[in-house]
Amino acid sequence: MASRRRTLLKVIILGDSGVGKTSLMNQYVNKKFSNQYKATIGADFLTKEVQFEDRLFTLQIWDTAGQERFQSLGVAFYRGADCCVLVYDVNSMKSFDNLNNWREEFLIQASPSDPDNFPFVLLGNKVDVDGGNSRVVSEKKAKAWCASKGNIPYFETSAKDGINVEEAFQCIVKNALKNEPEEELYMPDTVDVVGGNRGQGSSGCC
Amino acid sequence: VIYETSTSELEIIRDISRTFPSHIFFQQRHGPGQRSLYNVLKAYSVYDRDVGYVQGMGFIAGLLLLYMSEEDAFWLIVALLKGAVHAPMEGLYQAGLPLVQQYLFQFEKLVQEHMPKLGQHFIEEMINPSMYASQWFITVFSYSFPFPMTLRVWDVFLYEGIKVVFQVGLGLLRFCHDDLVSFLVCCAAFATYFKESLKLPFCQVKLPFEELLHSLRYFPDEATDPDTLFPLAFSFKVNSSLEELEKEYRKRLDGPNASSSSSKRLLPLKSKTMSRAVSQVLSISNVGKK
Repeated sequence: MASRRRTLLKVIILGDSGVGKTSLMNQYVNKKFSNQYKATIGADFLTKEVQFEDRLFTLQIWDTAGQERFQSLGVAFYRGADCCVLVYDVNSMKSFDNLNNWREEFLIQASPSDPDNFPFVLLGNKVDVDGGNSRVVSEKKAKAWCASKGNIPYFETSAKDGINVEEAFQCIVKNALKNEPEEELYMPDTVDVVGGNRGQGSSGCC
Repeated sequence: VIYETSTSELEIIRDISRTFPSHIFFQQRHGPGQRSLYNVLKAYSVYDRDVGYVQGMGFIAGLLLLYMSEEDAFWLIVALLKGAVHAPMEGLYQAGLPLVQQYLFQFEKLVQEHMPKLGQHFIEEMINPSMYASQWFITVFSYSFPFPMTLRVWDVFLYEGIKVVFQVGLGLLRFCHDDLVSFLVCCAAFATYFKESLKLPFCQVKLPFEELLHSLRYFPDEATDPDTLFPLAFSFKVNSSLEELEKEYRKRLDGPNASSSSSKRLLPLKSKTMSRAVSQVLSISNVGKK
């Protein structure tokens, strides 16, 4: 189980409906943007192989439905997450105000072992809209919120123009890895071997 | 219901352009398709304020609007959700999505019953039906499958009820069964081999999960060809199992909570309009039944 968690990183994207969760995920994984995405029903899921500090990881990204009612289906995806990405729309105050709910809901449903230090990353999306003129949540305000929640890393993104998406996900990977202090204490040797082996082995199967 | 306001209006508007976005009828911004969709969804959210608007309804409403007027589409949705002909389906959309939870429970058990090997793999890989099948039920296959298949599902659905969603779901799994299972076996063998030779808890075991879920989201074209899929789907006899599983589910539910708050508060229906909706149900189900 420990080794499984080492090379597989599970990330959950949460936030209000319409803030751009699906678009962010697709921009990151497929480098594509479409304005023809359907509203996500239930949950969707993509994977990407990522390299971080000479090691290969499978990043498993769960994109969830933003409507509150779908949270009751969430349990199965939330469990075992290594990082939770919160997304709001900088042009929507409501989506920002709801961040607290999303964060708390996640902590309740995923019940991580150390909730105070569980890694979150906040993305303020849609900074491209209207040249920034319709923006209602300031960067300062978002950063203040992040600071109040234990210095959550913050990125301002545009899934449409691909702004900051790659950077944000690199940070997400880094933070997802930080989440396992107890394994890092006793696993470093094994991890290196697995990592080295995986590089050669993974192309063989699957 | 058309003139009253609803708290769901903004939510509906946000989703209008995200419902069948590539279908020509709904493509045009503020075009007739999108306007009708809005009217039907808003009307329902006023008609039943407890349910309001839930994502997923739009796909059902959109599908119906391709075949009938706004008013008929509205009453047909009422008939389906309140249970004019078949069991009420409003639980698909009520808070907590109780009926989705029940259907997923039943579906998981049916998979185990009819395809034990696959069911076992799902358990081992911790694949829960909520990861792939919730949209099958919430939108009655109208969300992401090719239209020819969706329409055939709806023909049967209107006539026989939700049972067909289980059957078609099982049919899809059966069609891909060997691929799903053998792939897993291959990887499992691979993992075992490495475990023994290198004495490592090898990481390949995780891959099937991703591959499997991917396969469960993107079925090959042959799998969704109605002429292939439906005979397969109907080879599953699920009636009695569904009933038993529903009982089992309710028992489990009542166990810890002990409160069966089945909301029987049906809103009063205008019987004339209702019976029209019912005849609509039946007439549609006859159209297209070759």
